[in-house]
Amino acid sequence: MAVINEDLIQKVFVEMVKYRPALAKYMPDKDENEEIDLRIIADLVIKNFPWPAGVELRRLFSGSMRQLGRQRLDQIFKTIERTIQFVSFVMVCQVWYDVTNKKIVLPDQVRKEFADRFQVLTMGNFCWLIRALATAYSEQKVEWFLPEMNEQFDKKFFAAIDFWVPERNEIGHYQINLDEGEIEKRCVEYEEKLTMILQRISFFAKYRLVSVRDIKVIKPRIHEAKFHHIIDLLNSSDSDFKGEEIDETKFSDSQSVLLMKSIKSFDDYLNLSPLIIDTNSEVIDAKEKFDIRKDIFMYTKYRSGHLMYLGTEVTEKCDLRALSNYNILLEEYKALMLAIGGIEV
Amino acid sequence: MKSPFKFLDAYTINDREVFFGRDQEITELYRRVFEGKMLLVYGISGTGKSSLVNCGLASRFDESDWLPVSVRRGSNIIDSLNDAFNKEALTKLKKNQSVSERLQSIYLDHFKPVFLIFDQFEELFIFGSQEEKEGFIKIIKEISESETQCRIIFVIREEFLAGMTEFESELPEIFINRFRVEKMKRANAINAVEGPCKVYGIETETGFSEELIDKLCPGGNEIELTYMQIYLDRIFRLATAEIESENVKFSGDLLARAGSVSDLLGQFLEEQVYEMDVPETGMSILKSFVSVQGTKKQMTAQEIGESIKAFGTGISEPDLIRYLEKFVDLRILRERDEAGHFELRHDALAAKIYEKFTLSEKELLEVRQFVENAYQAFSTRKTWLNNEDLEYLAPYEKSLFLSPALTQFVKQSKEKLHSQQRALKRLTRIVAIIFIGLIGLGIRYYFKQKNTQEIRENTVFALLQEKVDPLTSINTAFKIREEDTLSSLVQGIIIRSFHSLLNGKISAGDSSVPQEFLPVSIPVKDSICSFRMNRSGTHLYGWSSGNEIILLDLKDSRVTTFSVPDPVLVIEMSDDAKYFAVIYKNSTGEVFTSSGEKIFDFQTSPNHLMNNRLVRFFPPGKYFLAVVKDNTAEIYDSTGTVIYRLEGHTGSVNSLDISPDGRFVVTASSDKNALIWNYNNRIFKFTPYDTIEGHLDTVWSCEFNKTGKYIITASGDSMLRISDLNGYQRERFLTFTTNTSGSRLSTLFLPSESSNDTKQKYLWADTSLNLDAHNKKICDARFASNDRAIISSNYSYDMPGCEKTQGIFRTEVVYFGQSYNNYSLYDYYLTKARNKYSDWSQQYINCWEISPDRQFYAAVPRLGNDIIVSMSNGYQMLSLKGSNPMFSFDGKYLYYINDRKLGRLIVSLNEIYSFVFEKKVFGDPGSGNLMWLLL
Repeated sequence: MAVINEDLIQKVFVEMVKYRPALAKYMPDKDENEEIDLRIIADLVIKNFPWPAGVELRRLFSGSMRQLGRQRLDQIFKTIERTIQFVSFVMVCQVWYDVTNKKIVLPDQVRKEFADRFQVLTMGNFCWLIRALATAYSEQKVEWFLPEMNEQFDKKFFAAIDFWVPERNEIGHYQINLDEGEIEKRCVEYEEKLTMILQRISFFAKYRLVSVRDIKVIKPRIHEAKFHHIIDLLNSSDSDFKGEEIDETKFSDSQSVLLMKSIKSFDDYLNLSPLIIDTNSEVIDAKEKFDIRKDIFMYTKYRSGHLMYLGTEVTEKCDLRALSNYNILLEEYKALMLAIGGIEV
Repeated sequence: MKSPFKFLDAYTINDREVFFGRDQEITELYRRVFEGKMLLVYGISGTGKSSLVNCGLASRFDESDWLPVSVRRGSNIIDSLNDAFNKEALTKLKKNQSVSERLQSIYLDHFKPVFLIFDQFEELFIFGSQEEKEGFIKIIKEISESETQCRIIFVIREEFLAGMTEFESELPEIFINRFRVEKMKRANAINAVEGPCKVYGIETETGFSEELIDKLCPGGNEIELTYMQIYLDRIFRLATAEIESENVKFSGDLLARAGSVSDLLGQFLEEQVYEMDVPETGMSILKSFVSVQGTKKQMTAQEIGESIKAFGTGISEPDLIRYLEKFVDLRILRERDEAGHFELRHDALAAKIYEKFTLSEKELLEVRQFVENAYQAFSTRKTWLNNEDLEYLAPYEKSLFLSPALTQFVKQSKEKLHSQQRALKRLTRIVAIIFIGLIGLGIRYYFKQKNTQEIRENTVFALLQEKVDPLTSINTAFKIREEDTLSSLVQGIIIRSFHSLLNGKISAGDSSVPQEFLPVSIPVKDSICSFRMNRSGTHLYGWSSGNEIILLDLKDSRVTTFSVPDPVLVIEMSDDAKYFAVIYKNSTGEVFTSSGEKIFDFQTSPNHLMNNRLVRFFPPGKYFLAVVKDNTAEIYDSTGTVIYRLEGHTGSVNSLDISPDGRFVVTASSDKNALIWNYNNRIFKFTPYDTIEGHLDTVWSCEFNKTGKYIITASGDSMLRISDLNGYQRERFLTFTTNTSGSRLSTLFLPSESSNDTKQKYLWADTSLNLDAHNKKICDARFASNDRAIISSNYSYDMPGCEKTQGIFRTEVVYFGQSYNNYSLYDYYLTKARNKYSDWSQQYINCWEISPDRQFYAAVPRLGNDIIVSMSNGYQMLSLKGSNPMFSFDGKYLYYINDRKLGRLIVSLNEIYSFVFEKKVFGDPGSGNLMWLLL
């Protein structure tokens, strides 16, 4: 990987170690003059970001993206976009919960703008969401589910993410054609800026993104009920997610993607449904479902009663209306829109 | 213009723009590849499986999400896999890395999910050994169980799918995720025709595609892709041949000119082969690329050169390369790969070529494949061809034209087999011999046991007969002896019976008794004090208490006697029996002739203990007599003049002896030494030659052995010493030591550097045995029985079990000798000692004599007047009344004195046999048999 990506990897990793001290063992011992295998550090960075961000980082690190060219430039855009999208979705999901539980009251302006923006998502919308919601929480002194957001999402951060919107629109959408030299220059510049943002959100390494595929109730006659959770850990560099099975006295939300503070307990989690969903547990038992891909999908738009998603690994568009829980997702979306945006869709 | 049609080649990612007609399959494949870690893609040959994966599926991935690692088996799938890894790795892989570590490293190099694609996977089942398959399964299992970012795709011909069941036990999920590639349907085929045409700007006439498809599969719905590709290629060539510009058009007319599609491939093949210089050679070369299953296989130029010989074709290497290059140009063969392999472009071609094989060629192919597989197995497991394999190969060997490695393998297999067969035959022979031997031994044992039983029974008979009918007893005993020559009991029976018969006859005054058996009267008035044999064994001599000297010639039994004036202490006779030296009790001595004529006087100095060796005669020569005198020894000439005096001892000389050749004299002295004297030619006198040191007390006696090479000395320190006289400056001294080890007592004469070896242990130190007789000082020792025994005279002043006596208490002891290094106690004593007779005197023997062959022992016990004759194993054979036993030199007789008569006991069984059976001195020995039989 040589020089490209090296700076990004090292800086982000150093930040990650602060939030996840267990990673410190991979740091080189300077006293021993140890050399690190940057590849392993890069892999750790990928794995310790949530999947939607991690998979894009992997693509950015891949061999075909190591030339300072258009391909790399596009991938940087894609990485930042997916990352910000993910962050915004985390915030929206908490807002939905807090609004419903009356922990926060969003200003009308925010609500109105949310209702306008949220049905078709773009880079600009993601940035707006982050800024608006973070400001509201800060003003009302409400704690985020991820407390680090309180510190990290400051003006500087907002400015950093805002930088990307015009760049993405102009360059990312080929409205401006750049020559090779310019592309190279941008690649370097964008990598630095991406590094800064990734550093700011490196606290995500502390949390686990999981997909609850199934929950089984185990209730012997004279015993308390236990809930057997079958989950996939979505912190991975490969879509062959590692599965785990956990027995809990409580149950979480099934068929959901959760952001958890600790995998050992379902006490504290944030359900990211319907904005982030997992189709891996879907049984393809009907012809209509043949087109459904097994992937982690992120919401992109809502049109004519149709929720649309984009895969994270499967890059082509995919119609998920045949999903068995599609109607539930739709309901959830409508509830979300009503709660936050105050509109019925 | 480049053709958009791939002919027989598989499509790759670079051909995605012209890959049409497989959208549904691609979508399905793309979906399935994420269903699990492994995907099985199968279908019949020619359905486009490889193209589907390498082009169709690959094109669905972004470049950053697809890292294909394609693996063909080659010569070994595991090696090929490792080669593929090394090719993809940017960071050098280490040899000790596991497969999953290598994959992980490759992933980390590229950060792309790895897709391991095993194309033409059926080659593993066609060409692979069992060991290769097992090794490969382990690798796949390791990959599937690891967390490595890797998915595995197997592309395999449908007919070999069953072979995958071998994998199922280790990889149960292998069949779960699978996809069958079916033949292309009409609609897709039309798309596959029109799509590339559109991309390349080839105009197609309306209905052209449908017409083409109709031609390919009239009335059918499934298209043979290989045929379609070949046909399209042909059409394209036809079209581009006519038109110079880029505006190519496919029309119905072209279709008509392209001709029939029936056996398109066969036609194509024939056409191309016909292009060769020698079509037969070309076909032979192509046949080399076909496996026994009719599939294609990779071959190097060298392998082809060897292989085509089996088709009766030979070709030089340059010509072969030329043919191969032409085949590549004709698109029948692929370009040579990095490993130097060529192969047919498609399995369909292989199938067509396989149709050209004759039956015998197919057989040869099978056999060749068999040998190659066996060679592979040998490479890994070192298993040679067995007998059945070689028999199978035998009819084809000359036609196979195997490579040198395979030929060597077959040859060595034969050699191994032959050597194994030889070894087996040898083993069989040995086992048979052993078995026969064992049977023989068994039979022999049986008969021996039977025989032994018979012998026992007969021995009992003989014993019973002995008292009643000695003659029959002898007869029976000799019959027993034919079977058992070693039995002491039988020998004893014979000798006793004979003695009994003889005595009977003598007592009865039977005149038929041979003269030699009659006792010889010794005409002396008084009792005989001593009687012994001279050194040459020709005469017996002694004296009586009446001072009469006795000489008996054994040849004719003539007895001569003469009187001497004084009481005799001891006498000595010369070896030639001509002279006597008589020592009187008053310490004087006289020399007489054998007729009693006195020659001269001499003086000597007897001692209280040992006087047997005070005087010795020299062999006939310059010196006559040696006599002990005080601290010296004197040498006399025949006139009675002392010619030399041997001076050197510091104590009294007790004994002397002269070597048989007369060159050496040995003297034993109270100064604890023995001196060896020799005539010194320079100073013209006898001087000490050497000293025998090491004794701790008075040396009482010394004697040369028969050869004159050894001297035995006996001392009051209870030690015997045998010294080696070899004529060198310093003799090697052998120190007498004893060693008790359990119940077996032995005396060991060990070389010792120090003559004062204090580590000696005495025989009688073993208190578990009563061996008092031996716990005595030694005053005399002599060699006996041709130097194979030693008889020592032991003395003490105490008798065991009694109060101190005033006299000297003597006994003689016998030691057997295996060599001058090793003497052991005669068993007679051990028997007595083990029985722990309370009567100590059982061990005390006044006199021992041993026959020259050591078979017989005559002892005169301290108590009693009998001579006990026993055998070497201690068996007491008989006792004779008498004293002074002497064995003849030939060992046939035992002489003894009984009441002034010389008795003779025959101890030679041959002699007895002669008298009894040949001369029938006692009558017919078999006469009594009948009676005993009846009894």
